[in-house]
Amino acid sequence: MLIVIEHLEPVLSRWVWYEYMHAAEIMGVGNLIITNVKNKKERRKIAELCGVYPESVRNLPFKNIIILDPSADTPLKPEDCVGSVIVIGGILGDYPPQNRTRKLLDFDAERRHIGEHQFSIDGAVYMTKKICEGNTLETIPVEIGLTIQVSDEHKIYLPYAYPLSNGRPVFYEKLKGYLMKDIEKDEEIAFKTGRMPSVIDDEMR
Amino acid sequence: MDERKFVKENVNRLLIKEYLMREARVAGFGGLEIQRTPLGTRIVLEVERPGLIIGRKGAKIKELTEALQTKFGVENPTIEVKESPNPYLNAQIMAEKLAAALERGWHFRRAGHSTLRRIMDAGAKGAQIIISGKLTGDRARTEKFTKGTIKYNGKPAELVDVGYATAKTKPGIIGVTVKIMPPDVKLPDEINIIGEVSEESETSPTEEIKEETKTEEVKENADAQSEADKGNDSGREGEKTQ
Repeated sequence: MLIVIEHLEPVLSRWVWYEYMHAAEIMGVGNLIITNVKNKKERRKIAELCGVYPESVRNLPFKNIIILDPSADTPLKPEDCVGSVIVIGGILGDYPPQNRTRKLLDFDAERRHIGEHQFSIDGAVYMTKKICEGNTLETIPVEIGLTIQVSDEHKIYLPYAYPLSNGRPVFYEKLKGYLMKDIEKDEEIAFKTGRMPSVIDDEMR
Repeated sequence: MDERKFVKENVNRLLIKEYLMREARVAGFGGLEIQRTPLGTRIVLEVERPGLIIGRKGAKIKELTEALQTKFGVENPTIEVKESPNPYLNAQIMAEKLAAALERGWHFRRAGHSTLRRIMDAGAKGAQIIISGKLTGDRARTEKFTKGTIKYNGKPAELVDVGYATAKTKPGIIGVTVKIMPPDVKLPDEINIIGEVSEESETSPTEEIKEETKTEEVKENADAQSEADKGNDSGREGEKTQ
């Protein structure tokens, strides 16, 4: 089983970077590839985690491609995983979802869904792995929305779907720590420049 | 046909509200009340700075009155402008202020915390600020700032003042909701003990009755004993005479 994440975000922000890190942890070395990474420095950074390509998955010589698309009619089944490459659109953000995976990954391929809700990138990787291990979509528990308590006064709510493992949502601890505190530094820059800084910019600082 | 008329009227009311919200944004829109009177329609507009909505020699208010008549077909409208007694306790005003601060480039967390503090300093029982949308970057999320008591459902939820505004920022539209529990609100679980009970009245009536019965019993026992004693004495006297 090979999972491909097509990088569709404009920059490799720290949020995306942590999701990729978690996805690589879930899948292990050799089972995950990230494609469409145009920036050379970002590519070098991602190479620390898994295989990385500057080309889009549509231009790579893969056969039996299945795109995970929330608007697909049929759910992903364990038998779909045999001998196929499953592509996850590396984009998250619009709420309610704008169906950007279909727009951005518009090439001809089989399409399957893992539920009607929008998953985080690492959450989608976890779901795919579980299904490919023989579980059906209905048997994997999912929680819609996640609340992070920052302080007594302050809460962050993420309106996305998160799979549950042992009753707890699959969520990367480093990302939680980042959202609770360190994101403020990046947000300060985003207010000045109009976009979140890349992990590369972060290292140069 | 009647239903259509009611729906049409309500849609018109909403359009009037939106129009006046837009026009009174500079003055700090704090709420609206539309009353239909036999002479026409009376609109009470609550704002933070009434001078800005009245205008020089009432020019702005005349303009608004004309617009209500021509654009929305309101019969003989009269606009009454009322100054908000405490803008920090008006959810709509605070929501508009927070949205304006976000548009000016304030960091949403700083803006949220400071707005919450101002509301609580004004004496509110509780407040909640919800900022949601693409706050920074491409990922939508919701940040909630809560302090004090806020009721979400049931009858007490009707006591909460709710205001809503939107901020247009570079990443997208941000929704701002402010909920305020006013200081003068009496919640159902608030119980006040009016006064202290004095020591004299501490003994309950049942205890008093019990005490009365006890004293009666003692008296009866004493009487019975004295009679018995008398009987014994007479017996002894009889013995003595034998």
